[in-house]
Amino acid sequence: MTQEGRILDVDGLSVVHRARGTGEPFAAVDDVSLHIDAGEIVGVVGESGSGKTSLAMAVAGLGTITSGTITVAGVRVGRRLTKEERTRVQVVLQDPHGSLDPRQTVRRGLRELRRIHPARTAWITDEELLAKVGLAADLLDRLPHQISGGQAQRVAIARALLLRPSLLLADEPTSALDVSVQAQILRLLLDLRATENLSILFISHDLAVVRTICDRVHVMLRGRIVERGPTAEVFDHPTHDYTRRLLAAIPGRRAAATYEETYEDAYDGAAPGGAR
Amino acid sequence: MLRFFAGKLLQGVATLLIAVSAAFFLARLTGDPVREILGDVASEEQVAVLSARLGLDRPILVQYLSFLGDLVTGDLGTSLRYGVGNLDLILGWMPASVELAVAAMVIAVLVGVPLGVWAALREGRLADRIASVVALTGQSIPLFWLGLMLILLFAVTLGWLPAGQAGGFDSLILPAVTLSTLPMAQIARLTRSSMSEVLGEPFMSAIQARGVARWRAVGVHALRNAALPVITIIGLQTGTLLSGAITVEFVFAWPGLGTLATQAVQMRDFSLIQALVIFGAVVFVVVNLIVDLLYGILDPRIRDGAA
Amino acid sequence: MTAVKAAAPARARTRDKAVRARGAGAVAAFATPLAVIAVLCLAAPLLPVPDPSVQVLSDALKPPAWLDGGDWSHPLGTDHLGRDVFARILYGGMLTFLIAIAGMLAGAIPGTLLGLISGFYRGRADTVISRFVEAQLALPFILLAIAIIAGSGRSLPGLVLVLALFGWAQYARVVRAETLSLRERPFVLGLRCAGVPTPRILLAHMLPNVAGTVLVLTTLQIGTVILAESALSFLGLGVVSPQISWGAMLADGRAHLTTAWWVAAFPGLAITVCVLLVNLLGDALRSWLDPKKRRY
Repeated sequence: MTQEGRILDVDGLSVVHRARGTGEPFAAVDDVSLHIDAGEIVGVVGESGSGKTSLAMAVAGLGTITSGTITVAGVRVGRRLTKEERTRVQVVLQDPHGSLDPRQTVRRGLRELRRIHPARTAWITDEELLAKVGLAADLLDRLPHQISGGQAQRVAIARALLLRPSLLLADEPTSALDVSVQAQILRLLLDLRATENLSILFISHDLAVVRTICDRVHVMLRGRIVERGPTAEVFDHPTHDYTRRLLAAIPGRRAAATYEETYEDAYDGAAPGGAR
Repeated sequence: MLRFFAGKLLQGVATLLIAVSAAFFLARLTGDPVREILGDVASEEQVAVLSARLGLDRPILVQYLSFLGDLVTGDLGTSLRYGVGNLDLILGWMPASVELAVAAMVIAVLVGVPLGVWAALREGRLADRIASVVALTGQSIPLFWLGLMLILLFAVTLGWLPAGQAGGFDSLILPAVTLSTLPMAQIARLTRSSMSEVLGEPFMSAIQARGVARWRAVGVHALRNAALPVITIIGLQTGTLLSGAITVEFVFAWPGLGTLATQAVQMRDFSLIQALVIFGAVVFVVVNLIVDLLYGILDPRIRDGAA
Repeated sequence: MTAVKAAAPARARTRDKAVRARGAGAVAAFATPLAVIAVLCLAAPLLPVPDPSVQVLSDALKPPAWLDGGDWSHPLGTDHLGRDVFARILYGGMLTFLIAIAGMLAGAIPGTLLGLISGFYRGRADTVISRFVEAQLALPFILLAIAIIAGSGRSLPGLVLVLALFGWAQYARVVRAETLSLRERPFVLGLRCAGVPTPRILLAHMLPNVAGTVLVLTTLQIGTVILAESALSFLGLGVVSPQISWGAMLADGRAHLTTAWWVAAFPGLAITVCVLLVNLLGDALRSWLDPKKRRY
């Protein structure tokens, strides 16, 4: 899965919706540009209503693009994509159990993906795939309601990985999980970036989480990006008023903020996930 | 507000258009109405003559356009049997049906609502379950059979009430009670469930905590909130009433549209049958339009497009 | 990284099981008598009952066995042509059930498909299909049935078609509503993102998830279809002699109501009991498949 160069290029993206009651058009995403290079984890931070979900849906090829372009690994993204083109961006969403068909076992779900993309998914077996996301093979025959939230989210990541995407789009992947499980999932994403050279677009409202794993971060407010830059810089020296307010609102804000520093504290020095 | 009404009106018209067109095409494309009217022994000549007379020998699209044109001018055609305009016939026979329908609805509401409230107040207990089975039975009985059994019991065996159209209030009772069964069951169930919801809401405890007597809390506040779904159901029940009325009127020899329809069937009066279908659809759409408008007035959320 | 094993909370699972067991009990309680009746009726030709079509005029209008003048060779009496009522109820039940199932399926299949399509694709397809659904629901069923049958004549296929028309709109409406909400669930987004073709999403993912609702509706529809067919047969538009259905028996019985009440009473009772069982079964199924749903 070695990738090189620019993985994601969003150029002047605008997404215009019609308001529910009145039908008035409003810009959920207003002239947004950002990019991700191979192996980067880039964050987009904003409150609900900031447009981050519309941005995510557009990048994933699931939402409308009113103007501007989105290019993923050289492919122009839009609503109409071929099966093959679609594999370039895969998503991990907020609700772990909601991300899986309640009536399908894990194995059947993977088998379905294999049937749709036989060549692309031949690179790894089900068992090896689960191992990559830290799950035992006996999960294969379970239904979603028989596994925990953290496990379900790992399955979601596994499903995304199976298709060898250029870009993994994670939209609030840890917001519905307990803190300890959050830590595990974030650890997993970091590991996957290292081993698979995966590029990740990480969207969240939770600044603390973003701080732990993103290399660069963008702050979104009402459809626009109001601040951007390397994570440490934005967090230590915010220039925009909104960013400052967001930072101030983090409860119990720590000075230290790398992954190990944040979660090591909670676990008395033992990084979650065991050996590593 | 006006946009809402206009929107609903437009929808109603569209629905009506599709409904009558469907009736038109289904009746013609599934067989040959002329042969049905004349029977098997008709000669080719007779078939041709009647076809021409009814305009059924023209290409189907021409028939359709002329059909629509007639509708717009309010012309529902002429009855084959009676030789007079169908609309006049229908309007003439309508009052008896309206009388029956209104009586049935009144009974349904007067019995169904209290029953639903009573069941809601005793939710989960034996009385509630019994009430629910009773309501369910009401939805399971073939109306015409119920009518027959009621006639058997009250008219024949006990001799208390007349069996058919003998004029006067007495003769209205049995048919109205029969026809009311289905709406009554529906209304009881719906009242029960919406009352049950309202009773569980926090504001009900708040009201009673303020010292409002229970009966008053239930009667005034709960009922008012539960009224809305009941109104909708009245609209929905119109369709059931229309269908049920046909068999009930037939059983009780009640001189309304139902009897007119069954006679039209027996006499193969194709033109009248078609007119009745259109009329029925119009009535249904109009009643539902009124219910929608009422809903819009009573619940502002619906008006503003939140629904 | 050490592997994480599955361990669903044990208490929730046992509680879940208890609720489901109770629900299943109710379903069985109603399904069993219904199944027994249905099997008896469908097996009518194999049972040791008199031929329902044999006319023995000398035996006409004999009352049921427990009344004066009746005997156990005709447990429920005879009709105006001396035909055994009990046998006719069994044979009539056979046709009634067969027509009900056929009519219901003929409506359920197109209705469900259209509901899936209009709920999932939305947009123009949805608008068009929804208009038709509303229009169908606006047409009073019996009037429409009369119009069609008057136009095309009586026939069993025609009857099934009419009954299908009666039912499909309900399925379309209910399935559409469920599909609309299912569609927004994250796993559907995931599937679309993974390039799974829409027809496959509809059939392999949406359909199984609406199956519960469709099953409940199907059960309830059998009841309404039975009532509809009886009404039509009663009016002479459905099943006619020499074929037997409960509705047709009622038409016969009406003429002799005062002198031989049993000819009308028993078929109607059969209809009521069966439809009631079907309704109870449908409610029990609904509760069993989703205990969170209200009973009504």
